[in-house]
Amino acid sequence: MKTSMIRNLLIAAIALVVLLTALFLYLMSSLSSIKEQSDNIIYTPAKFDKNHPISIVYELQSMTLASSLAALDTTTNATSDFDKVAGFLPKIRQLRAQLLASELNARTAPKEMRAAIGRFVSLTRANEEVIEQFKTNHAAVRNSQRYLPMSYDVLLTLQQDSAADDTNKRDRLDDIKKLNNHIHAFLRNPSASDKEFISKKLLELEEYAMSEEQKISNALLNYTSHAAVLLERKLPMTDILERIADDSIRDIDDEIVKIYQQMTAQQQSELKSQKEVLAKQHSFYINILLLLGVLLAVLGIVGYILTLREKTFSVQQLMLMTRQKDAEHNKQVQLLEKSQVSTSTDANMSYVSRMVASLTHEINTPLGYLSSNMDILSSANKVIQEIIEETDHCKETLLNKSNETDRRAAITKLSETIDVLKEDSLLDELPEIIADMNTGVEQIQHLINDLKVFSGTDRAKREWFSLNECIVDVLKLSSVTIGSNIKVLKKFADIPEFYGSRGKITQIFTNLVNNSVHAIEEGNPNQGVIKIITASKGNAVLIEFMDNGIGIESENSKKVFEPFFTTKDPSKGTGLGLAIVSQIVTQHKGKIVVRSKLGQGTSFKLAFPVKK
Amino acid sequence: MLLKLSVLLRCKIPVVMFLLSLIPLLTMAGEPIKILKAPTNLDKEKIALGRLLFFDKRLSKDNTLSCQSCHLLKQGGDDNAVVSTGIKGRKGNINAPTVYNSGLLFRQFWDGRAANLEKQALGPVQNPVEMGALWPDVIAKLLDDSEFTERFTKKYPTGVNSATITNAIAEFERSLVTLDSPFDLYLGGDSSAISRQAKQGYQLFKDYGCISCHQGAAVGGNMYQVFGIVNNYFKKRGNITEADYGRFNLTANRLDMHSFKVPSLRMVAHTAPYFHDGSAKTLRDAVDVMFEFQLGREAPDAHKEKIVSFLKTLAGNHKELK
Repeated sequence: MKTSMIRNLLIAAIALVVLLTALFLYLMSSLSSIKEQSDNIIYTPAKFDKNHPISIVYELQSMTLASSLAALDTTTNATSDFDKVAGFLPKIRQLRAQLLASELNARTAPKEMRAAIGRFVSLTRANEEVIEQFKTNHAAVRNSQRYLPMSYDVLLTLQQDSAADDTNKRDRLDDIKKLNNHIHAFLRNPSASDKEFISKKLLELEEYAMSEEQKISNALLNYTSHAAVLLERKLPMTDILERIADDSIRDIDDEIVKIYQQMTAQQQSELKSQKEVLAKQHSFYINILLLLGVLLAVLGIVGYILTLREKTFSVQQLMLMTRQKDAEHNKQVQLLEKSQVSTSTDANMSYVSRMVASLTHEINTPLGYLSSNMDILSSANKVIQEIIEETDHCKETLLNKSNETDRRAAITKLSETIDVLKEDSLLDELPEIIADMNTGVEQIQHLINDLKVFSGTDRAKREWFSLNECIVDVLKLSSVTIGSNIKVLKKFADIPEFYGSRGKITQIFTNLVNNSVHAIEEGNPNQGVIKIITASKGNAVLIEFMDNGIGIESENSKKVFEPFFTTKDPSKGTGLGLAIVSQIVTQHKGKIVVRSKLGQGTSFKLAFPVKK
Repeated sequence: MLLKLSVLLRCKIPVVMFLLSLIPLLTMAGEPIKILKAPTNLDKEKIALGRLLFFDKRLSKDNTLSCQSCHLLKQGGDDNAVVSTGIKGRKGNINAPTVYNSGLLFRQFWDGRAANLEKQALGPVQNPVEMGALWPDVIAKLLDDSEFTERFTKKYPTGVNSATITNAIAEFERSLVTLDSPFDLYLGGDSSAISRQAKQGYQLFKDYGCISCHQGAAVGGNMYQVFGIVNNYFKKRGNITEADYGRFNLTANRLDMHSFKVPSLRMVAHTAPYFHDGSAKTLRDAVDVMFEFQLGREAPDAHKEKIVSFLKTLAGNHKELK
């Protein structure tokens, strides 16, 4: 007996613990996975790591800028350090390959992103080629720019010597001087037209060199070769410098970063909505799992009571034990009630303690009926057992013994026993006792039913019906509850038919009427008024229940729809009534709002969408 | 006020002068040629495997040639021939460069068509005038050698293939850095490491502008340059072949005609003949050509000799070289 009880309780407790742990782990893991996702997505240039695709873009940008700077630097330095330039070109290539392989360039990335990356890659690739050309041209220009004036000096000395008495040669000398000035002007500010002009002059000079003596010819050709190098290499070099300093790489880079920001913003908003959906699911799961746990506990207790009823032995002993248990139970309930009284106004009263207080009381009261009546039943049982024994004894005596005195004595004893039973009036009380016990069982059934409705596990069938008629029905059914002291005013508009569960909607109205009646009994028992208004507005029907009862404290008005919240004495309500109302309203895609003033009354406004 | 200014000036001028005098010192801090340093982050087992493959004749079609056949490690990393001889006595069309310090070069091959040593190593194996083989045949031959295959796949789980073979060879080649050359010791502060002649040669090397192209740790190998930039070398030499076009073969850019990777001068003491066509038999010949066609300048013989003696101080040591 004892072991079966403990087993039931243990199973309930283990089930609860397992469920809560599973719930907790599920919540934690899904929350942490969301956090991880958002950490990955959220665009924070300050903290991205080296492998982040966007950091490749940044590094590439700084590399190409560095290359430009290094290349420009070599033009001003006495010695060029092309090891540096040669060293980071492979690095650029590697980064470019990484960028092409990164998720930014994946098929899932937006088209414009891939296009921008394509342009970025080809520009940096072109820049790389440009840097190579620059290195080549730079070295050549550097040397020839030094040697041109030297060869010019040699040329000038030689020409002057031989031109002393030759006007032709003097003219030629003037030509060379002019050309030299042209070349220097070109070096300061290279242009394609100057280049053409000078190269023509240089060709003339080379032809002329053929007719000169060996020494002058060599000097002339040396001068023209250096000039030709400068002419050929200086112009592309300035071109190259301009291209290196070009902003287009930076522009495209900015574009890539911008598109990336858009991508992440989009992902973020998607994540946010995902989060909201998950949060809703979570609160739903919490409710369902808690209720499941509670149901298991209730079932455990009910199972325990049922086993109690079935067993025939040692009822008294059991009664004694149950009473002790009950005393403990009552103590706990009192403690809980006390704490509830002291904290019922406290906004932070915990959900679970409210629930436990309410459920313990709900189960404990019918349990009281059952256990006290069990006592009487068992003593009745004892008397009936005695009568049966006596009857058996009497039957035996009558059948087996011929002695009249013995027979009479047996019958007398039987009738005496029956008299005692009659005098005890135990038999008269039995129907009442059984009725009481039935009430207790019914109450537990009712509670389980409420929990079932609240958890949404019972799916009622839906139909078309009139809300106005439904309200009238509710008022008829509740006429006893309402009594004659409360006036009911109705102001019904011609509202369209409603599609939904008639039973559940009836429950809403019943609960609201009951609440009003309770509020009036507490606040204004003599002049109570309940006013019910229906109206139609656009695609919605509006229903308002008003009363002039005690009202709700403003700080509690937000919590009235929470399950297990009640300001009433625990004996008067489970705290599920308005939670069920809210649940049903939500199931019908409707809305419910409460407005109340303490001491003046309460109004519940409901709105439901209407299908047309 | 005036007095104050003059005092200020008198104080500041010496300071400014002193700072100005520091500028040449600061610019001298960086020599255009850098000391060669031992390579880091190389895999010893890969180097060992690469060395085996470098000497492995199975890489050629008829098992007669290995990398070592043209890049003789003990002779400075090349074969001291104008052009190399491939399988069946076939002649190549370009001078074999040294394999020493090749890991430092910014591109591979004379025209720079390979970005790294791995890609370079792919070429000669299948070149009909070099090793003349096909990669599948080479791989099949190597796979027959179970001892080698076992050791190789231990290091390279993807197995014996052209990518892993060339990676091992390249890793070995990257280890071929010549250290502690007399010139590097001199740069490091040992003023007695090279002769006075060589020191003057280095100064001339810089002054004449050789340094414009031959600089950095490898003394070259970090840029392209047109051979005959000032005076047309090929016109004078004649007999122009496709190999003489250089980078133009790749880019078809007019400015890239006769453009080649500037070779490293580190091992020139060991690697005659010189240039892509192997036309210069001695260092002095090569210096003459450079002066005439690259610098467009005449120079006294004494200067050129000094430069040659400087060039001879550039080669360092390596255990494979001895």
